Amino acid sequence: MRITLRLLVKGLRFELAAVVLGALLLSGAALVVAAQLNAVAIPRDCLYASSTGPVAMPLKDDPAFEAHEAACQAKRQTFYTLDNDVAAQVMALMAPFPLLAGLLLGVPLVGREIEWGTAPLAWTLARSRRRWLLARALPLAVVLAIVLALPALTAEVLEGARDPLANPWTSFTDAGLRGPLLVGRGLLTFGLAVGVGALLGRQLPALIVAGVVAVLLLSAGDIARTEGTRGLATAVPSDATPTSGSLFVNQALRDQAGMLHPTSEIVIGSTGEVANGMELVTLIVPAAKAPLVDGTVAVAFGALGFLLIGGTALAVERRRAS
Amino acid sequence: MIPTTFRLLVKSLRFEIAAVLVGALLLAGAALVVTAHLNSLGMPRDCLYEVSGPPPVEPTAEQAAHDAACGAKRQTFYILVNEEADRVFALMAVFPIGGGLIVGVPLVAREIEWGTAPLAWTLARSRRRWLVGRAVPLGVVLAVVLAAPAFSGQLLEGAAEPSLDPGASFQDFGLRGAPLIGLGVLSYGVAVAIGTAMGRQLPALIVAGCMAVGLLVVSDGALRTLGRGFTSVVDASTVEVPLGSFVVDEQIRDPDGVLHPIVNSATYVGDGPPGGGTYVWLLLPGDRYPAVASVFSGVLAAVALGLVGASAEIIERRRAS
Repeated sequence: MRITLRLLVKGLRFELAAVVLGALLLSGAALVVAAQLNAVAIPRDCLYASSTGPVAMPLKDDPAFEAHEAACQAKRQTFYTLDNDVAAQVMALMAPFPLLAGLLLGVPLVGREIEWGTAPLAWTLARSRRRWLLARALPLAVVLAIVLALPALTAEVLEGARDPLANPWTSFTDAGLRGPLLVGRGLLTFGLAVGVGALLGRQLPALIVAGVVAVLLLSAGDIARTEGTRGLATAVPSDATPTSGSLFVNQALRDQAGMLHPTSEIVIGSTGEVANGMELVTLIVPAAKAPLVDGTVAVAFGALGFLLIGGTALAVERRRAS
Repeated sequence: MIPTTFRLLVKSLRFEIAAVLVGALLLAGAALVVTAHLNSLGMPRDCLYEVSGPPPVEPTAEQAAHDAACGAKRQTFYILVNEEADRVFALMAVFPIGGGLIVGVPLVAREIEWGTAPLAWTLARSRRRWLVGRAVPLGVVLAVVLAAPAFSGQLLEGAAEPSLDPGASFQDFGLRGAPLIGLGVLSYGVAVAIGTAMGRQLPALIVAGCMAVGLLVVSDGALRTLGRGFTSVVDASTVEVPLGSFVVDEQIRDPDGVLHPIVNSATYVGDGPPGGGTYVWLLLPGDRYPAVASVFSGVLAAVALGLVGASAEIIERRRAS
């Protein structure tokens, strides 16, 4: 087992080093930007009260408000410039990184052995092709998960610095770019890349095909996640301020029997009130449900990745060696 | 000789060439579909924000009527621009780089990695000629393939910004037209050189990918450097930046008319520049786009050609395995 691992690491040393280096650089960047945002020490009441924020801003154009605004101005400018120009870019890099890492480690695992013509020898020496594949793919998947955990965690820290009003562990904001979902995306892509590499037996074509399929699969997963999350929505009065990090789904009308109707049926009176005894409500998924949703989707992505590795083990058993 | 070499080349890279071709056609098709959507709205020019400005905070009755008339079309138009046109342009930023890498890396690296290079180099009269005979035609093919998204990008720009002539505007520079082709050809040159030096496909793809992303960042600086030869100096305090133009730099003009770089703008805030000077923009007016785009693309293509030349030198000295 130890020899298999050593040979595996030796065979993929360039790709492993590139992924580890990328993860370290990305994590480092996230921590540096988080430290810079924290160093601004923007007071909570200076943060722009977004639709998801619980901070009530003074609405009247009075001297106290003017003074408050003037006091906030400098810190606000520094904080939001840093947030938009730097933090958003670091966060954006968290989207392609697990995809690239999964592809770079997954494609050559079997694809290179077939392309280089070393697969027949390896498969002859191994007692079983299936065991040969699993003994290489599973430890590599674990290594990938550990490596990806680093940017996943630092992205949580960065998210906490970007939105001090929300707890990043219970927030839907930037979901998928941080935490367990990031690791799940990487594992799914890895499983897919191993499978496509084994089927095509050529690295670059496998990289292209696996890349396209992974993007489609992850997009489909995101759509399914969004639609599934909508089912967890609860109605709150439209003038209530939900906890920061909650997911806004839609607005609806609630009749006196408690039934919800689409806002296309809305009838607003001359004074702005909703007619027919209906109440305008906001459908939100509370931030507290974020760990459940993100954890479930991450586990589903990871399980699908391992399932694909299992499928590849079956495919390798029947494959021609060249 | 050339047709046989070219046929063999296309055969060995058929998957990569087909992938780039299909990607280019899909991207160009997407751009044309979004263009058609935008054009079909028939957005009146005076409803565009860049012409009419954003809705006034306290509109007059006339402005309110105008805004009400524009409202529906405006909303549809800008949703289409933000949600569809901008996504297509985002892909236009990535596609030429990806296409250049996918076609360029395996050109030599695969021959070395597969161990077929020694045979090919023994059969060829000269390694250098062997490389140039493959790399240059493939570069031309790549440029022709990239012309499809480049041209459709121009059309999309015209539809997304109806108040501007896309041929006389620096907006979305590099995401359409000749500069898009130039960026693709440059990333191809980088990929060929790195592939030749490393002789392994995936590692070469990683290194060339990092270098190509670096080049994207550098290309903005290159545009500013190249653009300096075409700039006009405009007083920043009296004139707004004209639509479609590109601000290369902001400087201070002293009373003698000499330009000085702004060392630390924070020290000038509120009091204006020291010594009675004025802030000026070094501006590339939109009508200079064709000249700047041609020079920019030409320089990128020349650098790519230089990289292929460097690859020819590397290959001459390289071990075959």
